[in-house]
Amino acid sequence: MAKDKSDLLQGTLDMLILKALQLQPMHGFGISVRIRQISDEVLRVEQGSLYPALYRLEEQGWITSAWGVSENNRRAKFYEITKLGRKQLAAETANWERLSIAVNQILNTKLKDLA
Amino acid sequence: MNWLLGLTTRLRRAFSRRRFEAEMAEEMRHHIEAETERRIATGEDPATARRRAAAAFGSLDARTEEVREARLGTWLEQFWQDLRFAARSLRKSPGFTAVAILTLALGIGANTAIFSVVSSLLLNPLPYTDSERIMVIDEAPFPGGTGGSCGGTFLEWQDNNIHFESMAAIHAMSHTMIGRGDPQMINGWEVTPQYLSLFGLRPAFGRDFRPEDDIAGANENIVILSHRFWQEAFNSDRGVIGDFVNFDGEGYEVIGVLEPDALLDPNIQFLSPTGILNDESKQTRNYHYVTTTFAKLAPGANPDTAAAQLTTVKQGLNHLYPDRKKDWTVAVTSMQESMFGGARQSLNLLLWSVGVVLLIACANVANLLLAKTASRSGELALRLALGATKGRIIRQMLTESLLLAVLGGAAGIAVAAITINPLVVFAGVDNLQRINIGLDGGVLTFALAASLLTGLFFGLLPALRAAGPNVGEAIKDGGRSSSAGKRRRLQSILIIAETSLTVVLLVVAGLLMRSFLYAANENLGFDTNGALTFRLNQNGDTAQTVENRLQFADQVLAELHTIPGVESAAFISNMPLNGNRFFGDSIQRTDRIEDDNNIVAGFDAVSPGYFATMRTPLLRGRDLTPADNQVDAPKVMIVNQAVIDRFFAANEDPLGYHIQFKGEPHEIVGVVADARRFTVDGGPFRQVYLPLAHFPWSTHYVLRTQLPPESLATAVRQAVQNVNPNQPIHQLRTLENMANETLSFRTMMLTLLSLFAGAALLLACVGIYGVMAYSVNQRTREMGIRLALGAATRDIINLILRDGMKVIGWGLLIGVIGAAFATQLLENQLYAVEEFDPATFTSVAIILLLVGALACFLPARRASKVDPMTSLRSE
Repeated sequence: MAKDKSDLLQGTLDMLILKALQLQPMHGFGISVRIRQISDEVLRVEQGSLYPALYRLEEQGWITSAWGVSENNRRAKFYEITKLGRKQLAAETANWERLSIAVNQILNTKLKDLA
Repeated sequence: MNWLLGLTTRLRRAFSRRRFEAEMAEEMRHHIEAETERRIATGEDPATARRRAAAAFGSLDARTEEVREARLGTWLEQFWQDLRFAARSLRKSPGFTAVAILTLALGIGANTAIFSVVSSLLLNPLPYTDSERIMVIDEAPFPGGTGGSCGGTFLEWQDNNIHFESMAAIHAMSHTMIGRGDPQMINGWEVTPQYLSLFGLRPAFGRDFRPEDDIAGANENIVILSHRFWQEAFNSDRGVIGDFVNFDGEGYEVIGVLEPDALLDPNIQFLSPTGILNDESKQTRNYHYVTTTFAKLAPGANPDTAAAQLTTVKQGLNHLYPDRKKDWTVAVTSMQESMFGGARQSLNLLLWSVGVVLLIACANVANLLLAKTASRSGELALRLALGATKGRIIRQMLTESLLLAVLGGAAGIAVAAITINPLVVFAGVDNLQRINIGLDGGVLTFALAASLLTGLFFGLLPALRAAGPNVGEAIKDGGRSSSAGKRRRLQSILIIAETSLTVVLLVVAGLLMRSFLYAANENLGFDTNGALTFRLNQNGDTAQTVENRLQFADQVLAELHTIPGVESAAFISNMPLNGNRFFGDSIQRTDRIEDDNNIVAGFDAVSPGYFATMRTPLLRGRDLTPADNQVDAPKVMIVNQAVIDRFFAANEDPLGYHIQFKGEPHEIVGVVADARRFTVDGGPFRQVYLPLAHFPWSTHYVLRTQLPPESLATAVRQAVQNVNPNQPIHQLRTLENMANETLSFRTMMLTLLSLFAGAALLLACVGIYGVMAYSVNQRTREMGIRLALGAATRDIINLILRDGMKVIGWGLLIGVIGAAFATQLLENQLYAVEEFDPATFTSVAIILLLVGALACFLPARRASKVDPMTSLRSE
């Protein structure tokens, strides 16, 4: 469980990044765009906080990085999810689903009780 | 392979932060560019797009800082995790931890102790201002040689040098102090006025010497006292300034007292002026007035340049030098090198051998760790499965090793703290003032560095192994798979390494010991049993003329002869085996003066009967007689065999020939056997012996007795006092003790070396036993099966023994080869023993095989006692 609010946010961000990389490797900017896309513009990652998270994820071995050429012919650093990362994503996703079911139930129960 | 690449990337990132941050900057710039282009694509104008993109991203510096913080945070967090885990792991296996820490403590502690001695003497600068500029200037008989200096050469250097800012000369002097308690012999130096200021010293109170104190016509009878001497003999009375003390019957005015521990030599009790300019005989260049010359280089000056300059000056003044010094040059050496450089070789040997002991200790701990890691392979595999990277596991294991090493190092520092003082006393370097041998900052840094390196050294291998095992296999069969085979191989390699190092150390110690014993037992040239010796320095008032000195000596001898139990008594100016001090001068055959004038012989004055008293065989001719001992008698001398070997052919009878000595021909009247001059290791030195009349300086007396020599001590003191009540006796001891003292440094060195070799052997033995016992434990099931299938106990034992001895055999082989190389470096320390002495090598091999066999036998026996049923069931 998360120890405090920032941890929760950190963990969430990590998961979003991993999800964004699930299909294909991307560079930092691409990741931020993708997160916005997936969440229908609801979640906008503060662009700067992306990079510390990327660094940490790489440290933990959930993603790897390599320099390559971007779509507009510039040198950019691309990130790719690793097997370990996928496992982590699956585990976190399962956790998240369980959590959201539980929260849902609580919320729904309350409404019903009120009735 | 992936993790290896990841590891190298991370290592690279860790070590080239600048490159990492440059990459990061580029990445961020790219991000802003891309955002800019996206905005342009949605219709913004370029300038606004760029502005908004940059704003959205925020300050590059801030972002960079955030990554930096994340980086540090991650690192710290992981490090703290590792540390906690390591501590818990160590606590869980207290036996292992205790053994490992103890082993490391001994290894690191011993190294730290030895290093502290080395650093205090050789590495730390001497405790004087600008000490790196303080030099000793010597006359050099040959390149690399040092021959001290004399009054005349000191003056020449002082007046003609370019590269020095100050110079001083000292001359050792003893006096008898009368009038303050019993007459006592005191030791001090006659110094030129710049001496104290050269070292940056000042008297604690009173005044220093001034240039006026050492010029022609100055009053020489002034003295500065050492602090301790002032405390002991003058009751710490500050009013001593201006008082007079009686040295050899002359009054000396006390002008000052030094600070405590001002000088390096604690035995120096006073300083007084040399009076070189007052006395022409002190200004000659023929060692009439022997000095040691100190000089302080001007800032930026180079010692070699200075030496060359003074040599040029000397060559210009060659006509003022005695003939034999014609080709001499001038040498300038740093004071530290001059004082301690000679011990460097021995200290390095000690340092090296104690380092080997530490390496062996490391190998043992590595083996222990390998075994421990193997038993944790299930746990490790689980962690890997749960998401730890291999790099992380390696870092975890390394942290554990480093923690172990640091704990061992801390304990080692405690060990060093306890052993430094006894070590210093044992090594005989406790007679230095002002230099502290102890745990200073440099030594502690060394201990820390040694601990960390040690930790890396024994921890790396097990750590890499820990991350290696195949996950599925490891969980399944708990360590008995092929990875066990690899581990066994690693352990064997470590044992081989340990064993070979032990062999090298044993061989080195063995060779040195043999060489020492050989030299020590060789004929000293005189009989050390049943003889007593002491030294007398004559007072000024009783030694005004040569006649007085001769008379005094005769009277003392007469008194000694009256002591019941004394068979014979005699004197000599300097005892053999006296260390490095000697009086030497060049000699030639009078009838065959050679151009090559470098044959030097030591010379001594002796009384008739000296050789008989010392039981040194007289090979030819006769002893000296009282008739020879007159000032105006014809000059005769006795020479030793080494002189004859140099100047005469085997069939020539040397008696009657003359030897040119100090410019005059002396007739050879007798030849004696060689007596060891300096130390036991140096070969026989050429020596000539003269009657006291021609060399009336300080005398050592020796008497031969059948009684225990110490019992005559009181009688001897009485005898001397009968001649002169104010004459103190110095260095009264048996001849045997005197001989032993000369050997004491070597004895000490060899004891320490043997201690280390023994420790190495013990550690290797323990290591072998441990690995064998562990291996046997792992193979319990196998043993059970063999026994169940009909193997005899003996077969099991042989099997285990064979495995063990194979490893030891390899270690022995490699060790012997290594030893052959290592002993090349010992060449000049071996006396009469060759580097490949078969006896030593053979005995070391036998010892190692026996000890190794024992270490293997015990576990082997245990293996044979396995109950097949129990072992098969124990899964």
